[in-house]
Amino acid sequence: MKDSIRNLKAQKYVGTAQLADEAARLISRFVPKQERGSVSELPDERMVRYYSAEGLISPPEGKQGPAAVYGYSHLLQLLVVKRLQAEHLPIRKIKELVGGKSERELEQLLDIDKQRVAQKNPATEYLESLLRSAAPRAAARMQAPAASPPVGFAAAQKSAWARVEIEPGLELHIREDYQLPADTRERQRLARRMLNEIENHGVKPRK
Amino acid sequence: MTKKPAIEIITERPLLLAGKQQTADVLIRITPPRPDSLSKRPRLNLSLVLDRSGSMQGEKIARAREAAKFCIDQMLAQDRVSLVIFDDVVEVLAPSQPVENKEAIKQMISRITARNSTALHEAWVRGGIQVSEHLIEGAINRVLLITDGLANVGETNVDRIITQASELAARGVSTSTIGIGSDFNEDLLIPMAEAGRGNAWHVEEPSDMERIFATEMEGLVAQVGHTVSLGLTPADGVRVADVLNDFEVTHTGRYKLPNLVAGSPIDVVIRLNVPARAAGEKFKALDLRLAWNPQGAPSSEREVISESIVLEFTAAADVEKIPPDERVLKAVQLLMAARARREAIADLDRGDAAAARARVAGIAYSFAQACAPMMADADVQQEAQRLQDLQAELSSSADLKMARKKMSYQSYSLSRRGKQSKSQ
Repeated sequence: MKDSIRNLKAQKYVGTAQLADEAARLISRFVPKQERGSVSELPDERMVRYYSAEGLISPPEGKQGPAAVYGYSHLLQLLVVKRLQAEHLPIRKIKELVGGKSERELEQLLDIDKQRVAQKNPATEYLESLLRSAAPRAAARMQAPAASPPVGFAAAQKSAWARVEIEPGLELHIREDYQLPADTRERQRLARRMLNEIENHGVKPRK
Repeated sequence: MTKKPAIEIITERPLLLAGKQQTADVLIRITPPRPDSLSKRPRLNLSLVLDRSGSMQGEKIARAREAAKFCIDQMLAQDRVSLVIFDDVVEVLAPSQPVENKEAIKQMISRITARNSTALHEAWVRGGIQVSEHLIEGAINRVLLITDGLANVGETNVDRIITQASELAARGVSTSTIGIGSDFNEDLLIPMAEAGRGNAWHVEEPSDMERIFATEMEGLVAQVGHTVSLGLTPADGVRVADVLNDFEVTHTGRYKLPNLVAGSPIDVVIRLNVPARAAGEKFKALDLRLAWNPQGAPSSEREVISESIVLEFTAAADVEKIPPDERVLKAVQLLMAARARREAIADLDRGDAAAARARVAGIAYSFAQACAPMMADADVQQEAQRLQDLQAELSSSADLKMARKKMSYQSYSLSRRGKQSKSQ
């Protein structure tokens, strides 16, 4: 799979911040969302240091200047710890499960083979949907190096639409999951866009 | 326990005259807290999206390169940066990466030269993806769009782009815009930054570029809160006649305030219609509620402080002869001058430059009158000078475009800040 975490095998992380970052970026794929108030904040530097001190994460591979260097196995350990914590295992038990495990075994603890296509965060999903709507041009003009692979059209999804007749000759279609913008100015912009669209269709004003 | 902003409530006069209905201006000064230490500054996850279209040729692109390199120098190894350059083609020059090898990134910037037309929208989207793919919770995840031109390739619908900036901000990636010169569209770049919960900057002269980049960077590292809202609940019989800042209002009736940045207080001025009260009374005229997301905390964590405006009344008739509080007076005058600029822009858009000039001349006069006791104040001097410059520019048809831009940006920054002289 293109987006597999295994692509990160050769990756090195200089400093706890980098390791924490990478884990924070990937965590939603491997750790189910938690109810409020539980232990599952996103990994950060403090957490990495704490887990190291507790022996949940192996010592760093080496040093680069003052910074510790971590690798793929540390990333896996961090994600596994978070995952097991989400399952409410006590730290002692987690330590037993994670300690001395090979990369392969850690991967199994993360069920990565069962992983579905990477879940993207809402911001990336939104931006890619913008690119898709401009896809023909963007695909043709985009120059390497592309940061992300070109995205195909999402499979057409079944959804319920309501039809509302605004006035004779003008209808509005509203999908069930549509949400109206919250702000007054956004609403004004929306209204303006609707009028523009109607005008762009060559509709003439009444005499 | 994070530190909270201080709210200072300053009424025009310490006491109001009892027994009559009246209007009172109240200044609400919100001073964001200083972060505990410099090392606690938020991490940055930035994309510099730089216009390299043909019109950027010469000094503009040269200064933009220097300014971008300056940004890189300000960043730390824990931050991330990416570079996107665009003309009609969008190119991800450097994908998102930790700011470790500054020299290599700066060398890439040095090789950027100017070329064709302007695919502004797609470049912004590509920059956004560089940030969003490495979204860091608690960091400032932001696209910095730098352009001197109009979106003329790809998506060009201004309303649509602005809406998208707001949608993206709601998903954790903010947008700041830097417009250079006099040929870009301020009606795109200012609302885009407002909707995108970032800042809008105008580089009037290429030589201003580094100062403005520096201000944006300072603001980023000093940001202590975002998604800030102010709710005003007047007591029975009291009416909020006006909020002089003309903030955007959410559907729940709260005012949308700029981000909380240490060192940049926000002055909100409200005009209250107050009913007649008895002498000696302390009257709770209004409850206000400030809410924000602290920087660095999970996005669900919202902090709130509540405060009340209490007015005191006296029977002594000469209370109205006491000169009004200068802080309130100054804030009112600056916001009125901001509003006059917005009206002058509407005049210009109707094709009536003479009306715009007359309007600016009118406000320049009333500003000078009202602020006469404070002529030594740096903000007041600067504002008086700006209003004079605008009148001159509005008299020359060649300068109208630039005058419109200046008025847009000045009214934008006047309405959002408490301290003017430092930021501009």
